[in-house]
Amino acid sequence: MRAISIKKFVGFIICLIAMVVIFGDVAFANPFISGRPSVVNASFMGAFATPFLQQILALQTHIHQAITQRIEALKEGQSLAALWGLLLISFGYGVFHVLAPGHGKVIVGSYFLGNKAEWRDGVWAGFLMAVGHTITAVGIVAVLYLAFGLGQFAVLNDARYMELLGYGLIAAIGLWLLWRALRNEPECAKCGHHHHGHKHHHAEAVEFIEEQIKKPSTGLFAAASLVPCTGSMIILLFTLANDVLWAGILAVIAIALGMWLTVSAIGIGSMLLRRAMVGDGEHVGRARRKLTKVLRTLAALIVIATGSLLFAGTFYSMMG
Amino acid sequence: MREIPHFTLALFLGGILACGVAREASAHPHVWVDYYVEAVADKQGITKLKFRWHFDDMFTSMVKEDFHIRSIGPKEIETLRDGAFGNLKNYHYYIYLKLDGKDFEPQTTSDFGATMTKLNLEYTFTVNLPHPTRKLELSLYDPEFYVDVGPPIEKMSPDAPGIMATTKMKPKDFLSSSAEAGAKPPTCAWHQGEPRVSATWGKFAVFNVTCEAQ
Repeated sequence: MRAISIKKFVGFIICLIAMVVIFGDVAFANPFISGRPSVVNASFMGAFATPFLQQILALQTHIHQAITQRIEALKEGQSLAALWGLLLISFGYGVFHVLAPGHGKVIVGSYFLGNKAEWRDGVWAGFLMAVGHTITAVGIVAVLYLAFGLGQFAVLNDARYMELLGYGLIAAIGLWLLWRALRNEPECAKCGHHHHGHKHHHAEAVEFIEEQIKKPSTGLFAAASLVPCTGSMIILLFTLANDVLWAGILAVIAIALGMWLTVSAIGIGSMLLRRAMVGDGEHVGRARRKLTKVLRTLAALIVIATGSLLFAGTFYSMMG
Repeated sequence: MREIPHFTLALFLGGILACGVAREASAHPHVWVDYYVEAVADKQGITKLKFRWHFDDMFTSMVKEDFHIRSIGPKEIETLRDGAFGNLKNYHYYIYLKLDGKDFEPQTTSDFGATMTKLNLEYTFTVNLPHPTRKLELSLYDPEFYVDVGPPIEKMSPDAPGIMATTKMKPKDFLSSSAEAGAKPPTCAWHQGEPRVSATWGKFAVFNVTCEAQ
């Protein structure tokens, strides 16, 4: 199969930038404080049925109220029931994010659609995202609010620099994945399963993690978890205002655990989808090789487009 | 060159998917507003709408802290109007009106006021209609869903979270009307409105209000 030329690749990147400029128009600023409406009307989203959206919005309102009331109850009297309630609902909030997909799930889903992997790679992806998500949310609040003493709206506003960094890295890693896919380079150059000659005394888990860290996917998932979740930060700030920060941190961990479950499931799901399409053995035969390449290319494209569109959207909203 | 169709197809599909994702990523509301509205009429027709916005506890907490507000006086009202309300002009306050069949999006408000209970901030303001109106249709929504603004909903018990609890939503007691001396108050009613299209979400339904001058 012919590998792609640099000329074509550059042409593609120019197309991509044009697309980003046209579609990348997402607002994140709190409209009460700053920002302008987003003007692009993406009518292809019209497929969403009315009752479904109504349900999701109602559910979000519901969860929000439930979390708020549990935190207020904790401030009043430290009731154990309120704490369990808070953690359970936060966990549900983490799981439920799948209904309103954020970038993380799309990236995990598309990566595993495009690249050969095992179920534990999916669990690893979910783990990375969950841990990273918690560290990012707590870290931003700790640095901006506690250390620099910024106001709450300013914290949420400045968290967008972190978003920008995360999206930028996602797009960059996506480009690298695409480059490798188009040139038919192996998915992971440094890692292979063929060096079992010398026995080392590592536990299997350690070996697994060592193997994972060498893969581009680990960088990708880590970049995705750099993007802070506004919901988690608002919960943290609210618990700070109510002097129950510890409960906020527990809640954010519960959210992360919920996300772990969902992200792993999505990773494994798209892995199974891939197996159904191309099998998991050596890819022999021209048609199958071709399909593998298409999937891999598609996965990289989704990663790039997600990263760059969100980057542009955040960038625009920060300029406005 | 037989790879080209695949490549183009992949680019197309990836683009569509990612655009959808980008739209949706911003679709979590982070501010909740229950609105109450009073339609005021004189002898010619409906002349203004008086709004009261009731904010959720978290937004209230953020505003309280960021604008250093303990209790509300004239100075605080000015601070809030400039710092945490004025920018909504860009969004025409999420107010969509039809005055005798013609679309109207308010560019200004008057009589801004604010009150604070222990947990909740409330804004009050008035939208003056450009001319007395016999029949108006009103709905409030944020097509980007950063702000979930709508009428207060009956019984959203936080003790039964889950999809089951949200099947039917019903607004409660958010409409009222009054009249200046010698005129009759308009009659107002709410109903589930026509689905609208959001850039972020596609189709969604809002609660519409219809008011008619007597």
